[in-house]
Amino acid sequence: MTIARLPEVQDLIDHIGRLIEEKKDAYQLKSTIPYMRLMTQYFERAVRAKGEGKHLVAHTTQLPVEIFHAMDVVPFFIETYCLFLNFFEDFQEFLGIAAEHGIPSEICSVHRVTDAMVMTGAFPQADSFVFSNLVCDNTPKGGESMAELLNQAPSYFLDRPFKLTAPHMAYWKEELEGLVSFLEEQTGRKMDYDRLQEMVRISYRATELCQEINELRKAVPGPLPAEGLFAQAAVYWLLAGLPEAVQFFEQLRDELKERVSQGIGAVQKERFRIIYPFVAPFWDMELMDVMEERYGAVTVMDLLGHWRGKGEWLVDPSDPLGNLARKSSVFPGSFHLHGPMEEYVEDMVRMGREYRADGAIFFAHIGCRQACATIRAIKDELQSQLEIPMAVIDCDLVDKAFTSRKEVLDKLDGFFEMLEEQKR
Amino acid sequence: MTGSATALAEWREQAQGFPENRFIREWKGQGRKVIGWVCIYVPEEIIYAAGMLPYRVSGDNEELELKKAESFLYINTCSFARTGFQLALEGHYDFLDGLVAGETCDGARRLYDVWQRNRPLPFMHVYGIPRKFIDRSVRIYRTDLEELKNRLELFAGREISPELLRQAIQVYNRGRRLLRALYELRKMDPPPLSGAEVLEVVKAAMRMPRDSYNALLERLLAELSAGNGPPQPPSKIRLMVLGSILNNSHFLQGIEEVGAAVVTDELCTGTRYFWGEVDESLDPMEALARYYLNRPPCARFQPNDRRFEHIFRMIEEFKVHGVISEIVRYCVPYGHDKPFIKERLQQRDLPVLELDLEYGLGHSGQVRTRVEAFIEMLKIRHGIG
Repeated sequence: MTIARLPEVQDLIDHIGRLIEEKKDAYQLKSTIPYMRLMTQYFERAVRAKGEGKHLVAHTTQLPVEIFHAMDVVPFFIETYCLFLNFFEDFQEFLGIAAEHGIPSEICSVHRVTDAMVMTGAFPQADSFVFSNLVCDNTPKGGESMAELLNQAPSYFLDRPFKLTAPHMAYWKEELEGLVSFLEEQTGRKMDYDRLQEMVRISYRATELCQEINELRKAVPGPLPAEGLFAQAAVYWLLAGLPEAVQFFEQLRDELKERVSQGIGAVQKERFRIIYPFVAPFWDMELMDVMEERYGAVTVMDLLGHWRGKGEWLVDPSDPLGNLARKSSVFPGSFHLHGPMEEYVEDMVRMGREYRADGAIFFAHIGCRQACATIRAIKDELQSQLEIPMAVIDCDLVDKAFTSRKEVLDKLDGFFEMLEEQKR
Repeated sequence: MTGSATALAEWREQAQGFPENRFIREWKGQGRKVIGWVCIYVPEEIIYAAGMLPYRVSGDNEELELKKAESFLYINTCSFARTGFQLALEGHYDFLDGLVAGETCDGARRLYDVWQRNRPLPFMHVYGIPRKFIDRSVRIYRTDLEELKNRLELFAGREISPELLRQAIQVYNRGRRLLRALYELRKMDPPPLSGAEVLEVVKAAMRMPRDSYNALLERLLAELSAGNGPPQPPSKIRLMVLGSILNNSHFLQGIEEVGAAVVTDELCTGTRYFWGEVDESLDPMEALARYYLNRPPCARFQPNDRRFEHIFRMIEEFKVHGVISEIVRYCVPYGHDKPFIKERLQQRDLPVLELDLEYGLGHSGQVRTRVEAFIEMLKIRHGIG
């Protein structure tokens, strides 16, 4: 098999840089460019880490990155890197490498790609590796595979409990303490708990701002265009605990507030308010632009932006690890996908109600078993409780060959026609 | 199964019927309850000590049409979970009074979720299983087992005393020792019982009262030890089967029909189900937590080295010539381990045949062709005619 040069982190940085230049006047939101710059800076830090003598930690999804920032190590969020790079690149080469290695095609494509990325050195060699069981079977097993493929880099596995009663939260906190000890051992430095406490406070401020933003997204017309949908999740995922995340969310909040006060919506004439009970169409994010233009459909909320309840998790400011443990009980995606189905279903009904959705679209990523198994229950409850129809689109998050845009649009045409009928 | 041993014949007669069998009917006839369980990290002893019969939810010797289940569980849910729910939807599990599931994998937990939502039983309980083997994992696992015990007590209307638990542990440990003895016999050449027959014997442990089971197994062992087992063909290729849950003994029978003996396994319907014993000197709940969390692990635990160690111990002890690594499609934990197992087996110069299957598959033509080629290669390699 001849392998073309495979994309690396610098390619992603260059892609984003070009996008900023090409589209800087085309975006609706002023905060989109700062968001993209934040992403660029994040990945640049990873590229520079080795040269600057910094300890680089590769890690899997949904981890409390505040701990990494407080330890002054450079985190590299593997799955988010994969998603971002997928916006610009086709992953067939990576998927082929994974297949040659013997990874079954039923394994989530994101994890097949990240395994292949490790095998081919598509991101910088990490000094250590941290992974967890959030939010599915693929993360711990993919994490374990990557740790082995990373030339047996020192690794730490975080075991997040299934339920979150008091003893389970205590267990989870102990797991986080174990992570701190691991990082201390790897870096030879001690955790500065005052610093961590401050970062947890900043992270909580970002959570509050996300909640304010989400309140604004309930407005009719919905003020957040597709270009901002992933920004909200990505900034929190990568930069929680850092002041720049707070600055970004303040800017986005102010911008949305202004749009709401002026009645400016994501589209000129909002026809449909759509929720995603799972993820966005990551393999083809332009689909959301197409939906806005073609159907007047605005994505008013998605799973990755939806905090549980009021998103409250800071209880005792002097207990930063306890707070971070608590955060995963309200964090978007974490509690939905990791815990029992009924809580997930209830929260999606709440989402539909609060955001006054006309319809829901479930992008059914073929590699995601724990999410797709909830489709029937979510669909039934949205329909029976709120009369919100749900379309299910078979897809693969990063394998662009799985389905074509035409195929998806054919299905969406039918769905929006049905919604139109329902409105009459 | 083909054979002439008296105990084996009796066994076949008594254990026939799936999922409901004679033992279930008798048990229920006495007004007693049956609790289904999903995943081997549910300690049967606690259910048994509550005066209820633990029964493992699974499919059996047939690949089912899964259309009904698929209207609730998406197609990417493993076919083991879909099979269990298909049987529930068709009413085959209506004899169950309750369901207990460990959150072992995405398939198991979603099987529980859809069962609870669409076909709830009087008693429903799910709990987490830690993925580590360290002390605090045993502690939190024990906490969850205590909660299970408390809820079962309420449901059963009786206390599950330490004494009842100790008695249950003794009964189950006896069963484990007997199964271990059965596996010891498989080290013989040829083994006195085929792999397909052994799988039927192990499955029966999860489907009938353990004391009755132990009595039957003791008689079977006595016959086999005395050389009164069913006749077995002479020296053959010795295989080990590892991977995802496997219930269909026709699958093993098909392998054995083309000139091999399946002599051991790394399956949750095999060694991983009964290996080791609960420490009877400890507080019973502590002993159960330690045993269940520390026995040979499935692929979902970290690190996978412990799983691999068990595999290599089996290979060595049972003098295995080759390995069949079977994975049920969409079984993620085993799928991730697959290339690493292959690599490690190759490092030991041990041939491996990888099969991706649907749960319940018997012996299809395609599989048969691949198995035949694999066994031929092994025969040449080992000079076995």
